[in-house]
Amino acid sequence: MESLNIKTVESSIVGDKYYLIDHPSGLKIYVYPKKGYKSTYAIIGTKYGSVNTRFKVDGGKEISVPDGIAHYLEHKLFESEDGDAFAKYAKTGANANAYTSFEKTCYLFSCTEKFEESLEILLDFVQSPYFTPETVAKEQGIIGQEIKMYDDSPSWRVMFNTLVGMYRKHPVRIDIAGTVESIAEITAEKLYDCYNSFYNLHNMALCVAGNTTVDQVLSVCDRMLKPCEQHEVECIFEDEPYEVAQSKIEQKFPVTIPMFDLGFKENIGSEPISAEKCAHTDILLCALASQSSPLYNKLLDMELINTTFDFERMEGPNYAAILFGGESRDPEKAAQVIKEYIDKTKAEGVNKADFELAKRAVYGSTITDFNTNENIANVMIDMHFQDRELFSYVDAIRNATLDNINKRLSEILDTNNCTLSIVRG
Amino acid sequence: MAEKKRFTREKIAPGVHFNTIFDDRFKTSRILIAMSSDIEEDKAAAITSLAGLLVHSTGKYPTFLELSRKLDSLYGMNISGSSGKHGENQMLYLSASGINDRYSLDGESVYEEMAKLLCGVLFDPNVRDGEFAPDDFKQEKRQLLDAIDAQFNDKRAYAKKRFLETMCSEEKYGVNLCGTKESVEALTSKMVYEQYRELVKTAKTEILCLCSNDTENVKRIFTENFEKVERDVKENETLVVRCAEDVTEKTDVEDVVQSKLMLGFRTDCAEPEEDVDAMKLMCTVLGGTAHSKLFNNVREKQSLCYYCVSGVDSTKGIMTVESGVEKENIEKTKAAILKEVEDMKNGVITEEEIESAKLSLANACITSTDLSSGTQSWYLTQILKGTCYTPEEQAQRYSAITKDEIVRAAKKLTLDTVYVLTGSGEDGEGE
Repeated sequence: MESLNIKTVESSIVGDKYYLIDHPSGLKIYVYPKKGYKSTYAIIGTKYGSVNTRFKVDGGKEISVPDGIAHYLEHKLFESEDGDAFAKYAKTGANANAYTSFEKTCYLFSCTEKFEESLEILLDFVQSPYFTPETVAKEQGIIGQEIKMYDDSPSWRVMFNTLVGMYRKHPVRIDIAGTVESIAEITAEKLYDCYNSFYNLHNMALCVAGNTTVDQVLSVCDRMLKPCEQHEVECIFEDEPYEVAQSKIEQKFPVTIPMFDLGFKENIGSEPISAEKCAHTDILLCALASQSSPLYNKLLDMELINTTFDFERMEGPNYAAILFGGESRDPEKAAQVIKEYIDKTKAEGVNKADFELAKRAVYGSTITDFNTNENIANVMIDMHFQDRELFSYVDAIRNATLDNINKRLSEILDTNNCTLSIVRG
Repeated sequence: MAEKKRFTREKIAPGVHFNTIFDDRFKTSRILIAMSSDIEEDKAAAITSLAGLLVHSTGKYPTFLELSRKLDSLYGMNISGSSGKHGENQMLYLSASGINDRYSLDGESVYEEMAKLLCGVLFDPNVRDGEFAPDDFKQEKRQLLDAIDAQFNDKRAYAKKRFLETMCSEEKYGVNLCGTKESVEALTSKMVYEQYRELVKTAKTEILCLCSNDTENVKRIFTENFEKVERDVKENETLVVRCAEDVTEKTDVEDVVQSKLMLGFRTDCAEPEEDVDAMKLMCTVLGGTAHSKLFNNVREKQSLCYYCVSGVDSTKGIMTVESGVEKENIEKTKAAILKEVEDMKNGVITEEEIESAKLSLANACITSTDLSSGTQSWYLTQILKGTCYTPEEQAQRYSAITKDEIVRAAKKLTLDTVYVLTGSGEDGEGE
């Protein structure tokens, strides 16, 4: 039996605990048991997403791959030499899926029975690539239709156009699935290049939440995980200037009500922000633009937004941005009101009452997130790849001060460096 | 059973039941009010606007800002309203959820406040002189008009809407609950208030309280309020068109890149009939999973699409199959889907397909109740169906279904409508 490093992480605020295991194979494993739950959710991910299109392995020569290949690889990994993973899951009843984002690729399932068998299937197929010219060719039509489905989605287009407007060089401006043309260049060999570079257990994490135990998870992991040699993968990103590429970007689109996103580009290096900063940002955004904010109500009263209005912060290697958006009859005016409100708040500081309310609201929604296995495991894997710890985020919410929030505001939301993206008919 | 979980149901007024689901696994409590009335074209929009108006403000918190700030002070408590179909009933849902008292930072009872607030949403609307506050009404009307326009923005949802309007053009089920732009424009604050009074008086109402607290106080608050209303409950029935007589074909041309194909079948059974379970299992074998016949044959083998799925609305007796395809592949995909349906009818089904569909349904039932919202809707579904199965019992029922029963269910299917939303360009591109 190999000796394992198992760390227990507890939160008195949340009233829960989880275990972090440094597995000898190189994989980081998180186990978050939920008492009384009947199902279990497991997700394994690699720190490899659509933005990782140029890289070097162990200081070798640079490899450059077609746009959309990480997502293509996600589709193809479900097939192994001995069959398709969905067919195997069919025998356990697990509900399985996968997704590719800008900075990671994840494979997941939830189940109520035969958890160990399902975990075995998951760990088996992510370690067993099998790509042939025939299987690669077959996927062109399927992913082609996935791309076209998104081409018809105004909310997807308005978001990507914002990124195109904000970023000059960074590959975050490229669609996650690529284009019908770029995926035509994908070959089995290129898929193996990517797989061998990034699907290394040292570059991956497994998060399990629900009706399970450390012993149960480890009994499968010990059996299934193949030790692998650690490689140094260097991802190459061109220098991205701070200034946005375009302050406005518009696409004519078959919509009856226009949609907009107002994106603020953040000055960020290659290191992710801390859990504290993340907590401060969440409270700040809630104080600025949630339904209880003066801004939201002003926009509503001026008939510039409806309840689709929302905001989000996105972050990955060498990029970070905050987006406000939704449906609007007058996106330009809505954007102007938002920018004016941000400038005014920067000058005067966040109102104390707004801060106190936002802090309570973010605290409540964070506690609520610990209700479901899926949320817990998804947030754990996000945080793992961003080098943040789950419960210290909760602590930071509890301990946040008005000064923290105002300091954070001074660092971000530069109204002279944002992009307004609009789709309208 | 050692497990400390129970469901109780009590009548608190004519046509009003208070249901308690005791569950101490969650960090939040929830209360849901579900009110049902007949779908009628001329009142649908009024009820949908009520779903927004009632949660926009209340008598005690007379602006959206005041109500939102009250909710945030209670740790981001959520109160929301929505409207949906259950068979040919238009449901009005008002729901609240908030963190359990154990997590409150100042020792206040979030749970009691939640019950009072939700009760206020229903019984203390922001009404003056026999109508909703004009500003609120104007705001809600604008938002409903936006929502009607936005139905075109999402093309998959738009195709579904157009499909349903086509297939059920002569049935209440085909009514768009948001109404039309004209019907919304014609609404007045007074009309909507009258609709509100009608609903409180006549709608069959289910209140579901999911929590780990004692619910006597909450029950009392609702009971006292309903006692003030002179109830005259209306019963509604859903028309089930058992078989399609011929196939209606409808094509809409819009500026879209991908074409949407929708097939609608009559299932010759609906709740509370017993064979609904076999129909659901049949539909799962056909296209309910990533190992179903449609997924394996239409997507994986023929690479025609990214999604091709089937679903049943057993409250109405309709099965739909939907897919997104190239314009040039519409006919090919339709033929491929119909071939799989024929195979089901002819019993070309393996034991593995049946077994995996059963496992998948069992997994879905049981997993859903690990969510507090899922537990609540599980019980609401049981109540509306007039049954009281646990997820495990329902899984058992699926498990007992035989291949013969699945084939019999498939043989009940008749194709009613083929709907296509497509682009005008030659290769499916819009201009």
